Amino acid sequence: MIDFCILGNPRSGTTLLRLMLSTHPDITVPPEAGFAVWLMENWEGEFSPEIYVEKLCQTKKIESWQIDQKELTAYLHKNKVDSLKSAILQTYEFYRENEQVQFIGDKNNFYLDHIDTLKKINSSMSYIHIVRDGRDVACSYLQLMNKKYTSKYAPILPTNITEIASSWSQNNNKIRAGIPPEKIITIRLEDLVEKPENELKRVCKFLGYKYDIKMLDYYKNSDNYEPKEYDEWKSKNKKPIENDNFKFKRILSQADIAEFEKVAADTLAHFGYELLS
Amino acid sequence: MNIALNSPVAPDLKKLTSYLEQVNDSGWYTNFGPLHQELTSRLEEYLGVRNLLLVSNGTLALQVAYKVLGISNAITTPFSFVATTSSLLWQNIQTQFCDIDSQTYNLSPDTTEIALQNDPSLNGIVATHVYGNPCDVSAFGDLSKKYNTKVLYDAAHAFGIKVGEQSVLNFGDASTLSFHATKVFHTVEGGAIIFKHKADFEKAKQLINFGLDNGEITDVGINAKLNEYQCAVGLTLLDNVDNILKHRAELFRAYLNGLSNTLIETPKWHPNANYNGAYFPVNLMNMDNFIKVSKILNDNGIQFRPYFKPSLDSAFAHVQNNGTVISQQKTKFIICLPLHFYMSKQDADLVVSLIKKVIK
Repeated sequence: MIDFCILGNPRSGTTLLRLMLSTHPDITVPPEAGFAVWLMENWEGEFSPEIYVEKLCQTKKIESWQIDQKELTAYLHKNKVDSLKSAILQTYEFYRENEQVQFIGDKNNFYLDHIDTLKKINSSMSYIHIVRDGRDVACSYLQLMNKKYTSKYAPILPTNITEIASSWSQNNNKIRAGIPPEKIITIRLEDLVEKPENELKRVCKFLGYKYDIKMLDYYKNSDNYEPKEYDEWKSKNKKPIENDNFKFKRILSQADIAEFEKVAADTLAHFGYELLS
Repeated sequence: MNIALNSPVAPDLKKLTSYLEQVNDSGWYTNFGPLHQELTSRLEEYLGVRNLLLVSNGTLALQVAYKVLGISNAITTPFSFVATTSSLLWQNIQTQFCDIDSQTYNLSPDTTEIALQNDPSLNGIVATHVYGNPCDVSAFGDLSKKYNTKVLYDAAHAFGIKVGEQSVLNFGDASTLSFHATKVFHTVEGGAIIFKHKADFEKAKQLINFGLDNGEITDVGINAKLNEYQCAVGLTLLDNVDNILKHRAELFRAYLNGLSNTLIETPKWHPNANYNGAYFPVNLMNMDNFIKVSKILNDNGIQFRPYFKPSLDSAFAHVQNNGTVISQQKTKFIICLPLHFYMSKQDADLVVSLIKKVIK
């Protein structure tokens, strides 16, 4: 079973929230892998636990889960897993049990285009939608554009302001449209940064978990939760929260702000972001 | 009878037959067969729980759970169906009653804590989510840690109930469900245990199969397995359970809205929980109201039932009683109004209008 899933546009704080929740003593959110959706949509041929584990271990980013193939195969046999969907859910259970926690979540920006598949995998899952001001997202994209990466998993993102605005707006609206309102909580990164305790309490209340103050110390152990390779574009998560809200006012030109707002005005307004142009 | 108190949901026979044919074709009629596995995984997904073990009824669910959790000295509520207490006594578990909360009608964490302070040998709290209304799970969680006791919730009424987005069945060391024909979801007879820990689930799975593990006798067990025909009923009904819960919750709301601003009391519902419309209890508060409401409902062919009555400390007078004044008081004039899938909103409105004729 997957208890909840964090969804958000890239560079919107999904990893920050993942790390915070993973620091809760009862919760784990594994590094993003995306095998669940990929296998569900691309599986061909017969199913057996052996074939499943072999295919699973060929999927992107799964190495960060550090799965022992023999142990997982034995686990699937022990639980009489006879279908792909059941194998996917039991893989999450396998991870959760190894972490010795009560709940497991997931997080992946790749899911934005596969929400229906996600719902088919686990219909009772809850969702946390984290939103960040799209103009700050644009700043983040533009800053990353100038970096050089060695990781094969480095993000590939649009760099043209019109495209950024359009994809940011579409992505957030896909989440809004794809999940029934009672199954989703929306938080803004800006609020999480300014009042983390308040927002985490709100998330815990929604999920039905007890709030734990340890979540605020997420950065102290982030090495344990996030692959080192991702530091090239996620290094901020190793430090205490830095309030960098609305930095676009310093970084983006008036023309870029106006262009962004022209494309994404309705979505910005929906999430309570003030329009400047 | 114009409006029945309850009416079990009838499974679609065409769909049911198709499942039954699968059973006949496989020749696997019980002992954790394919439909048992399918119903287990579908219920786990639907309810948002893990470690769910199907059993043959809700009372055995309680008894197996006590045994697996090692509960030998328990606190429980006097305001529940008789099985909550009789299952404890049946297993010779030392039992004590504590009083209920005057607003929610659920076991009071405050009175429970006093009992835990007075008797360090207590090792289990058995609380019921009465009428599906969640107990103060947070307070009982704290008591469990503070006094090192197990917490078991009798969730027979609480199918589909959530606290926030979390299934109420995920709180405590275990929760039990009843799938009796009168419940919102049923397998004619049946039930389930949801364990917090997988090790407890594995242990229970052996116990309900005579204590056998791969053919070897490992413990004193019992036979509490749910058979394939009953699982077929469950699978048939599960396809429609969203509609059933939605409709029942609408009827619940119709009663709640219709009877607000009258001189009768309904239990205060958990602020973060949904309704499943399992029951609609009303406390008529005094004998005069009770007589008037009983008469007008009887005269109009509307079935109702005093539920729960009596307070279980009256039925089991030898059980240690730490004070049950509120439970005694609440059971005097409480009735459940008709509520089932085949009732219409007009039926509920009629019941409301009749009650309002005699109680302002």
